[in-house]
Amino acid sequence: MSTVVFHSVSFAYDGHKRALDSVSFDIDANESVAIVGANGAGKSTLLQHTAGLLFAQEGTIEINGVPSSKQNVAHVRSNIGFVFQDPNDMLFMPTVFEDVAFGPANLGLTGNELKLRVEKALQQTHTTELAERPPHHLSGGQKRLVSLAAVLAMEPKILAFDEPTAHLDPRARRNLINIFRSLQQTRITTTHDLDFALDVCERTIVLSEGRVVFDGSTANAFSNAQRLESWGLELPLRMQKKD
Amino acid sequence: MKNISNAIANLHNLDTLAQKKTPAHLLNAKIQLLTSIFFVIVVSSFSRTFVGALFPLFLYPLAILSLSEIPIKAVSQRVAWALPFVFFVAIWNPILETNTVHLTKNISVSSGWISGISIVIRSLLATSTIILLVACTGIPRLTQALKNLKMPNTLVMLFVLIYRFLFVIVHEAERLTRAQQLRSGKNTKTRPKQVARIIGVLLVRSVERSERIHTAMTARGFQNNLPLIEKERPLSFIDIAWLFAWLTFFVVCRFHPMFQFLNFTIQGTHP
Repeated sequence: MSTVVFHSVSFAYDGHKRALDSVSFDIDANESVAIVGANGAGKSTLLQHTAGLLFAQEGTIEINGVPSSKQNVAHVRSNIGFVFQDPNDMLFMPTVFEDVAFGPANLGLTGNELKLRVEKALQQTHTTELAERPPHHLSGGQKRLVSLAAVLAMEPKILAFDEPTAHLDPRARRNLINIFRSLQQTRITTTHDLDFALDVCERTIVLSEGRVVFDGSTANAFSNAQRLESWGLELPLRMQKKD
Repeated sequence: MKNISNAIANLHNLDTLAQKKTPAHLLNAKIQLLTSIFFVIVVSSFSRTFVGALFPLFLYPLAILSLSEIPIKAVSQRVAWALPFVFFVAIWNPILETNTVHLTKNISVSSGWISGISIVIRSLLATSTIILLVACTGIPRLTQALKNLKMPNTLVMLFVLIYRFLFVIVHEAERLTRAQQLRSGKNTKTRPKQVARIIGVLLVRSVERSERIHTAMTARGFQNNLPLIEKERPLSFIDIAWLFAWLTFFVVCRFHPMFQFLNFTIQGTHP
C-alpha cells in the first residue's frame, strides 16, 4: 500500500517560478527513497509538502490515505517525523531528555509512558548517555542523533530527512548510516550525498527545476554520468574513476 | 565577540543550574513563583524614602542562594546586566529631588539621594530574586506554574518564546560579528554605519531562524502550548510552610514598627 502519494503537485513561492511542477509519485510502506537534484531543484519544498508544512497549490497529496490539507494537518504531522537539516533548529529544551520528550508530550503522552518512549528513542540512536546533557553542549554528530531521537520518539510511520549527512565527520556519518539501516519506517531523504543515497536508499527520485526527471532504482539513477550531468549532478564519489 | 560568547554561555547556564536537585530546587514551582511574586510586591510597596528597612529583606535571596547551591557569581553577573538601567533611572533623583533631609545634626543630604539609593536596593532585591527563581525552577516548570496560577496562555507562551528566541538573537549576533571581524583586516573598530547594517541583518536573520525553529516545533506537534515533560511534585507540608513562613516575614518587615525603627537607626530619618 502507498503511504505517500503525490498526484500532479505544483507549488510556487510568492512571485517566483514554480518550485514544484506537476510532481507525481507513490511511495510504498517501508520503502527508503532518496530525493536528489541540484540546488534549487525543489527538494526541500517537496519534503515540506510531505511533512504538512506546505500544501499543494495544484494537485493532491495523500499521507496514509488521508489528503494533506490544513484541515488534516494534525493527522499528517502525527504520521510523519521530519528531521531538519540543522539540528540546532530542532533542539531548544534545557536537556536532551526534555527535547526528545517534547514531541510525544505534545501528542498527549505523560508519566511513565512518556519516559519509556523517550528511553526507547534514545536507545535506538545510541544516545542514552546524553539524556541529562544540555543539547547546546553536544557535538554536531550527537546533535544530529538526538534530533533523530526526538522524531523517533513520536513513533511516526514515515520519516522525512533533509540533508541528514550535512556537516558530519566520517565516523558520525557511518554511525548515522548504521542507525538509518535499522529503521523500519518509510524513509524519504533529500540529499546531495549520493554515496549516502547508494548506501541506504533502494529507490531514487531526481528533481530538476521542480519536475521529476527520473524515478527508479538508485543504482540505475547513478549509472550514467552524462545523464547525471544534465540534471546538475555528478557520479557518487565511489563510482568516479581515479585518474 | 568574546562578550557575545559569554552571553550565550551565561544564558544557557541558567537552564543548567535549574537541573540541580537541592532543597530549593525541590520546592513546588508554584510555591516558588508565589513567594517570589509576594516578595517583589512587598519590596515595591515600600515608600521611596525607605532604605534601612529594606536590608532585612536580603535574607530571602540569601536563603535561596545558600539552599540552592547556586554560585553567587551566577546571580551577581546577571544582576550586573540590569544595573546600568537601574542607575540610569536612579541618577535623576538627586538632580530632580532637592529637598534637604537631615541625617544627623550636622549631616544633611537631598532627599533625591535617599530615594535613588532606595531604587537601587529595591532593584537589586527584585532582580536577584527573579534570577534565583528561574535558576531554581527552569523555564518549563515556571511555565507550568504560571499556567496553574491561571495566567492567560498567550502571555505564558509569549514569555516562553521571548526567552527561547533570546538565544537565537544572541547566536546570530555571534555569527555575524565573527564574519565581520574576520574580514575587517586592520580596521579593528566597527563604524556606526557598519553597526547599523549589522543590526538590520541581525533582525532579518533572527526572524528567519525563528521561523525555522517554530516550523520544527510545529512539525513535532506544538500547538502554542508547551507540554509539561516532568510532572510537578504535588504540594507538601514543607511547601505550604515555606510559603507562609516567608509571607509572614515579608509582612512583618513591611509593617512591624521594629523595622521602621531600623530604618530610622540606619538612615537617621523617619519615613
